[in-house]
Amino acid sequence: MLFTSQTFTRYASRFTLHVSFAKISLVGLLVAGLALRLWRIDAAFWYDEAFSAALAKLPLERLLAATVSDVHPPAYYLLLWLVNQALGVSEMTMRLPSLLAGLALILVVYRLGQALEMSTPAVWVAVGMTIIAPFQIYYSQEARSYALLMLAVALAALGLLERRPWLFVGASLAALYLHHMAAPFICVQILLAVTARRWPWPKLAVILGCIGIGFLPGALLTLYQMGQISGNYWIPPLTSPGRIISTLDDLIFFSPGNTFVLASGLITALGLVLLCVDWRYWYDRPFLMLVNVLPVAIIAAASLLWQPVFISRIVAPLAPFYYLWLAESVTRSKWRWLMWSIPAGITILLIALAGPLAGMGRQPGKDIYSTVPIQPGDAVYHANVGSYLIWNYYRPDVPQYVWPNENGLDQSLSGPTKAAMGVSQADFDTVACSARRWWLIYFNNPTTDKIEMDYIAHLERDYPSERVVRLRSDSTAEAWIVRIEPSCSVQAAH
Amino acid sequence: MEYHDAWLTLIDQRDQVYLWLFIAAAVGMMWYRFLFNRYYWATLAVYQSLIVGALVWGGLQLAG
Repeated sequence: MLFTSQTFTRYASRFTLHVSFAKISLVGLLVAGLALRLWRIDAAFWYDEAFSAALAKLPLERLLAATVSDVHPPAYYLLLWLVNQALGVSEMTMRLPSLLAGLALILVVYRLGQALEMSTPAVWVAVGMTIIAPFQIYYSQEARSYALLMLAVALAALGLLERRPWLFVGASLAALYLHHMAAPFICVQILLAVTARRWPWPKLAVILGCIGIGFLPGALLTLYQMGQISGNYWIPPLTSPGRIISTLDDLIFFSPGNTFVLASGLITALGLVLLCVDWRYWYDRPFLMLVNVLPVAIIAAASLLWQPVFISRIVAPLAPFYYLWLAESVTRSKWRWLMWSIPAGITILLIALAGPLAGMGRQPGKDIYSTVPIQPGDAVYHANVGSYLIWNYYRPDVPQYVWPNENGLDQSLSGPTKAAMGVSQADFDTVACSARRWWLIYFNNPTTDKIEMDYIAHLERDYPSERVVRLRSDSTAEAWIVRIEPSCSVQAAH
Repeated sequence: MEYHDAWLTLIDQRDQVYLWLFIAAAVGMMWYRFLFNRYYWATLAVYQSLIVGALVWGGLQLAG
């Protein structure tokens, strides 16, 4: 007999050992991933995160009013609102959903690799990339929706591959309500579900019906918000195919202040060429190729024909599929291991560890809010709502106003959103005498409108002022804190 | 607006670097059989040296 009870027991015990080894390895890797993601998770918020935190603090009806007039759907902000109700608002609590989503994505990538029947080394390479990719670490520490978006789209794919209809429906709806740009990814997965006949037609019709009905309110909101996006957005136009390559590079190697871009460029270029060389192989196993190529093509087409949207965080849901696709390709032979996998592993590890060891990546950045000698009777004035939201979060004790610019300034908020958020807007001339001394904060960066800089020039020219703290000065941005001590006679002249 | 133009220039320069790296890698792979059958270890050594050089350059930038 082929299987005696003795041989069966031996095979069974080997299988058990194998599964246990995988589980133990996964737990160990999750702990390593958690350690990397906890490093500086309490770093200062930047503008987008301060916006998330400000919305989480609002009463529910004002949160919804603020969100409707913005450019993103409400699911993520509602989640943060719930987190605030349970745990309060801090850097750690606002980033907690992203942290948990980032860790869960590691497990989902493992399951996706198994569902795709990839080789064991390829699955582990993809899992390893998900754990230590600087891009994943960064967005697991970001109080924005991108980590959850990646998880939701990956879970939808898992539902599709494992033929679990409610996982597919639930994850698709979650993705669509987290971010408008989930649509290309979910549409591609629906297309694959239909063309590959993953479910019988009646069941497929029910699944698609559930997604359609479930997303109907979201679709109406999307149509309304598209107007806001098309009239007021800052993403640079897609002018070169090199942007697609550099964006894919970002999906693995992105980290603030990354100095290893030349090495990552070499690795990304070779990886993409290997994927192209393998086209016959992928022709026979098209799922990974299609879930990677089609969304990129759709988003690139949208950028060319409608509005520039091609940046790494918009294509973030691609990341797990890109890791799996690359992993399968670069583990197919010994020389590919030597040419790609090992150098890439070393580079990713260097970038991931350069944060904790050499000061790259997310910076603490909170000192400035306490070192400016703001005294009782002082107030802070902002030329842009960006710095207003951050300073209002860190210095709620100080009266603060923002210039009520309504000229379609890039990267700003709409009037109804600012009103719902209770942003204190006032022309400086009208409030100048309400404080003994003012601290003007301004950023001149790539998205700053000329009219904003003209206004700052007017304040510095017409009021006694001195630039006291340089927040930033490099080839693409300049930021200052300016001390203004107005005399009411000057104010009266205006 | 000067920063806007500087920013777009930087992005464009980065895109060009990535595009030419991809083209170089693609041309290299067109000679796949020639390179890897005849000069396997030499090709590997050149590529690895490039990576090591790029990593050292990145490390020096970080330190500087």
